[in-house]
Amino acid sequence: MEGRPITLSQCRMILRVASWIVPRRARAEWLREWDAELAFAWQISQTADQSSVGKRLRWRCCGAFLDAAWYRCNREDVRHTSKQWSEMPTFLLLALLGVLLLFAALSGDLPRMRSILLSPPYSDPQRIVTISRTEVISSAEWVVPYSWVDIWRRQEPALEGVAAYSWRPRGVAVMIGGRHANVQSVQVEDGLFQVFRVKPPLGRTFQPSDPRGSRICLLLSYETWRRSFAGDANILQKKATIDGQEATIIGVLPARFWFPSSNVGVWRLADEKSLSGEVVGVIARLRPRVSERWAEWSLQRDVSNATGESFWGSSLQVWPVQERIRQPLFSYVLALCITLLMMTLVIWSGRLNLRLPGTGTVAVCRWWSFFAIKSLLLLLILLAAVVEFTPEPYVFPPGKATFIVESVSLWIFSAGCVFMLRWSLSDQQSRCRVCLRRLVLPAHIGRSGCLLLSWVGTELACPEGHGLLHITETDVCWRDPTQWTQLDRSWESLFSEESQSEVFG
Amino acid sequence: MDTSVKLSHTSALILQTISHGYCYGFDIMDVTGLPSGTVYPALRRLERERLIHSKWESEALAQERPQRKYYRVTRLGNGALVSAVKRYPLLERLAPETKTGGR
Repeated sequence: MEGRPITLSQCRMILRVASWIVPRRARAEWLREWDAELAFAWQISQTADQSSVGKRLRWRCCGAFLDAAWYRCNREDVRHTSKQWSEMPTFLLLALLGVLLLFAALSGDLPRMRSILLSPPYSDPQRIVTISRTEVISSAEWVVPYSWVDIWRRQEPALEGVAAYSWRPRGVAVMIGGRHANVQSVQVEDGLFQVFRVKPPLGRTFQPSDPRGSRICLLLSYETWRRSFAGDANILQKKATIDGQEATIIGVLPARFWFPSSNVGVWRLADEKSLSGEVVGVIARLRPRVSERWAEWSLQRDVSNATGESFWGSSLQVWPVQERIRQPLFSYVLALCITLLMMTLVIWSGRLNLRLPGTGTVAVCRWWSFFAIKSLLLLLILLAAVVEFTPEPYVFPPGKATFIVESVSLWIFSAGCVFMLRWSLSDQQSRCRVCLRRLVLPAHIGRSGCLLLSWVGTELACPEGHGLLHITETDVCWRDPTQWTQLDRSWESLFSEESQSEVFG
Repeated sequence: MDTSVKLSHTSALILQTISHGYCYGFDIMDVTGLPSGTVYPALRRLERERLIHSKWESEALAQERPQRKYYRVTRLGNGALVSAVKRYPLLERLAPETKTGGR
């Protein structure tokens, strides 16, 4: 452009582009002022050197961007714009989505939620079961003695494979090649990974020939390997210690594999001696076409024949792991259903007025869709918070709170459901029935002091001028007389952009 | 407590330029040599502080061209300018000559 006269239309184009930065309510006047100055400057400079005039005007028009940015960024305008934004329904939905994403980032992609909702990462999961002992009257669940596992391993026709494990949720310090990690560990028998039919991406799983006692054999979870040991491909050749004892890393398990908790990062090979003194859980793979009931009967018979155990007042329980893992979800869904039922009764009784008089079908659909999406996001946030950030319930035995109903997290979830849905309803009540923006300009109406120094009511207005919400603050009958008054077109001038700019400055 | 408006040197110069009769945005740039990206935001701030006020010139004055917006110093602005001149003694030397025959 250097040396070539810049035309008036080019300068105007620069101003048009800059005007997009200016808030809409002030844009027309801003552009008019700049246009007029430009036209005047152009008019009086016709006799001057066109090249230098063009250059000067171009620089002046570029300065319009800074002027426009001032309009956009000055404190009053930012406050006004942010206030307007915060009233919009989109803002609330985006904010809730942001919180959900924040929870996902903090928890590392919601590992517990994924373990509950997604199919377990085992081959034929419907055939993998836990075996425990259940009291007939109290339904309390107990682990079985380790000696019974040996009986089933030798002669049980219902099982394709069986293995014991011992797990207490405590951390161990693992050090490999100068790097170190604090993770939970579980002791397992060598047959456990054959029950799950796991194929490790690096190394192998435990084998009966692996050494026991003197040197500890370890398997790492994929997450521990990737995060704590930087996905080192040569990790199997490196020196390792666990709680100061020498260990050998023999493999890394697949990415999604977890058992018996998503927090476990290390599996160590246990010997019979160490398991026999421990409280053990039992996991087994049923043969094809063997039902759980038949397996229970068969297992019980074998134990009775071998040890003379009478199973008086108790029985063996064979429980598919898939159902075990999903059990918490059922409890959460049950708690949610009860809360929803209570809320429906409250709405139906008329205490929460959500009627939409004077609005069309589209507005009604928008209204209820917004309520549904908002409530769903709130409940997802609650579920993510409860599942990921409260103490983990023991899905697999040996664990005290096998029935999730006993766990704290369920009670927190139930209370949270009531609070979230109540807030969602109350937020919905204070929104415009047409555009869903939050109602503003609360005004006390009536005379104060009539009853307990309270005002007769409050009136809120939609910032777009769609209507008024009248809330009576002193109920005189059992029905809440909250009312929505739809404003017709004759009110439009009061809520026009010019009127608003006068109010907001 | 001193409640007078504290002006920056640039704002004070612009205010003084307006008080000397250069009341259009581009005129202020010509006289002071300040760029448009400085002058216009300063004008907006001065107007927000009620030190100047703006008006659209009449159609009769504009004749064939679009009406321009002009700025005038308010009473509050005059007070602030007096304080600013005391604070920035060099301001008087930088001040342009008073425009004659203009608006």
